[in-house]
Amino acid sequence: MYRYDDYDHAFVRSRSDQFRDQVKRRLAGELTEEQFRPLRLQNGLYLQLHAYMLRLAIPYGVLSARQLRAIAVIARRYDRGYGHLTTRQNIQFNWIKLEDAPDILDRLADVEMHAIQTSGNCIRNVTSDPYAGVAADEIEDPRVWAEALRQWSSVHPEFLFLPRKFKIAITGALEDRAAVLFHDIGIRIVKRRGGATGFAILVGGGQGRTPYIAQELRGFLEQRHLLSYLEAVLRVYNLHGRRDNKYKARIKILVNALGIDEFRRQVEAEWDRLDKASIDLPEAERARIASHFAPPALAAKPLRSEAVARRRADDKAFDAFFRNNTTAHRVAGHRIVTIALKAPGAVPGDVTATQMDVVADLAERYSAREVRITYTQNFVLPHAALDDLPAIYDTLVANGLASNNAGLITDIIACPGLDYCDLANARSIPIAQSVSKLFASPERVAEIGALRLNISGCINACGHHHSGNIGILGVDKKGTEHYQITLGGSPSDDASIGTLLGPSLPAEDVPAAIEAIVDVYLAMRRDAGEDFVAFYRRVGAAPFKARVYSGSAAETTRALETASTGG
Amino acid sequence: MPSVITANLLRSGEVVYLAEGERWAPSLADAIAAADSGAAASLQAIAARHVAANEVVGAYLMDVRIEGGVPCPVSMREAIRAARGPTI
Amino acid sequence: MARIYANGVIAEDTWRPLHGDEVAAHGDLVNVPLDRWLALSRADQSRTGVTLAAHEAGESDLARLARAPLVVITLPAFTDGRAYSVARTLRERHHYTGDLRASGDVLLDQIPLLERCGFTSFAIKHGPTLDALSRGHIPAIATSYQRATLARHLSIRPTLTGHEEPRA
Repeated sequence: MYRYDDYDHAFVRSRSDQFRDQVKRRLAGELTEEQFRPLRLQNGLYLQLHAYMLRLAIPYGVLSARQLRAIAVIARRYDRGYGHLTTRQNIQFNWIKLEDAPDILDRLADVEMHAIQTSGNCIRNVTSDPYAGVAADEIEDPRVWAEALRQWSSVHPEFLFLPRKFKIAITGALEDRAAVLFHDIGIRIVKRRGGATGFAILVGGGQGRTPYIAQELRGFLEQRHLLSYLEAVLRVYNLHGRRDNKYKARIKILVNALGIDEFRRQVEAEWDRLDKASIDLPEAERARIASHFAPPALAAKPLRSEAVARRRADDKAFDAFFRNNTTAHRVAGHRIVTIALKAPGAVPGDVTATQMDVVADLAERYSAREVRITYTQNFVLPHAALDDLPAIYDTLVANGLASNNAGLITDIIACPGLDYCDLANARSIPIAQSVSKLFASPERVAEIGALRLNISGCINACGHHHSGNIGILGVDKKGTEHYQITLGGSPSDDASIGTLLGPSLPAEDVPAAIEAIVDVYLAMRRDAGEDFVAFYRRVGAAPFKARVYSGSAAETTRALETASTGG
Repeated sequence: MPSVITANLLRSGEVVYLAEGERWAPSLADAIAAADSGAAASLQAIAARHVAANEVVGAYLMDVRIEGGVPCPVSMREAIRAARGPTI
Repeated sequence: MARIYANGVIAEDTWRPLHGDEVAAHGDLVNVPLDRWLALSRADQSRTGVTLAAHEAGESDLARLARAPLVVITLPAFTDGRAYSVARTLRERHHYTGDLRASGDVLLDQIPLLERCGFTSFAIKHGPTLDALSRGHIPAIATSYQRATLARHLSIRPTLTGHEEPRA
């Protein structure tokens, strides 16, 4: 992973000093709250429902064991002993004091970390595939360019006061595990015939009030021009994005107002006029960054481990963990391991300081000291040897970290909601807890198979409910918490935005509604191979509507019959 | 509906309520309730001075109902804020 | 009344706006709004400063603005970032060499960023900003990741500059 040199160290220290000075001036009244607010947001500090919340930057979701331990120390010393993994691969603390924030930034700088631009109307954390560098289907490691983008966007003086926030994701594998189609800019590494790799640049995706799937801006961009091309996009957005209405200020609104062809024309015209040589990354610098991402020296091992085979035969829970929580690694005899923070009744994505230390120790011992964060609010150990899986699993079990439901219905993605968030209309965590308890049976969860369930506490959609196979959105209906259900969303290559099932339901009716939705799917899918989204696209909303809003089995059957005759 | 002023302390971010003697109290039960819009405007003026003095941020008027002589939250959001922590 | 910060010094403004039918005396440093400036002769344009909001000037206007001795871009709010893009375009594409001034909602923390985008003077009304500047206190970050936008006192990693000289 990337290691800071003197310039990187000087940068974060200088930034930390700058923020300390800004806090001092704020407390002395030299800055009003209006003048201070964008400055503190650009250091990740939000004023939330109960206290200040600090969002740390975890660049493209990669952390070292040492960094995770430092985060645990901060959690204990300055917060309430826990942190929360976010849907952009960051970690946030909920109970921070403004007067402590400068000290916290100093401690982060000690371990090559910061909270730069994790909030505010600027370029945010560049996210990527949590399996980058190790996935079997990887074309090229996207982290090299993710790091280049991180540096390019850090305190880029032209783009710190954009019309609104700006989110970039980059992926380098055949399967998109970074949801690039739901980002302001999505970047896919693609290979041309003849072998040259370049980038497909997608623009104008996003969730929130008006969800959009990104459109192709350029099918193939030479790698060396990534920074100048993005600079052209950002400049067009900075100059022409709306500033009159906060809810219409994202680039997706501009792209859809102009149409992709006109937007492309403006970007390409700007790009043509740019002095690319002064912006693009010199090859020597690309090589320097790339050298940090050389894979660790992992000895190829036998594809089969006796110990694992025996344990899988003897221990059903371990077997489920192996099947759901581990994935093929490019090096033989290794697996990518997901540590799901999704036990039944757990708060999705919350992790205690003790658990952070456990994960750090596992990373140190078994994963070349490296750990990842997924946007689905889980940890990943990217480099586990097959033979080490039983020992890793035993440690996870002992620390409440062994939920074997990665990618399944109880691997719920949920925003903090009204329990923590100033923007929320309704709570999301209790809904997540009741749904996860409802599906506590491992057999039932396995039967359902891969299913993405997302919960957002308000229309800002930080829980990404629009791209959930099942999405739940909290709304305020005359002062009581109600929830709308959407179906058929997908975050990946077959991206789609979920469609509203029907009128919102009170909180107490949500679990039964989810149960009903699952029942319809299980009863009428062709076979276990037809996943939820494929099923929904085939039969439509009618059978689900019938079941959820009336609960009559006969009505469901009628609706399904209509659907299968193409009615 | 009666109302109180709530805000967050600038330094700590803690939730507070405007109480007797222009004090900022952590407990909603200690907040001065304004019975009408005139009283509410006075409270807002006091709050504005404390904002300008950099003691609190984000001060606003919130609806309450009086139960047993003590202000209580009306909305779920304010109930969660007054409880000073998540419901889970 | 705004004071002008430039080259590390705070001073009075030597330029003044020309109002209504006023005619400038020879040698006066005057500036006018964009539409009035565009209507001037080329010779007058090269003697007269121009004031505009960032979004007012199109690409062809910017090409002409490069003749002005002073270009003043007014920021309606410090959070309106368009001025930064206009400044860079004026400097880098149109090779503007005159005084590029930021006015309006200009505060201490944005000055280093505005400088990096090409602003060379700042019209400031905010008291605490003027106080800090007069003490030489500018809270800037010492290093840059973007070599196209450098300013004095800013260092950059050598491998980013390659064979090029950083712009001063």
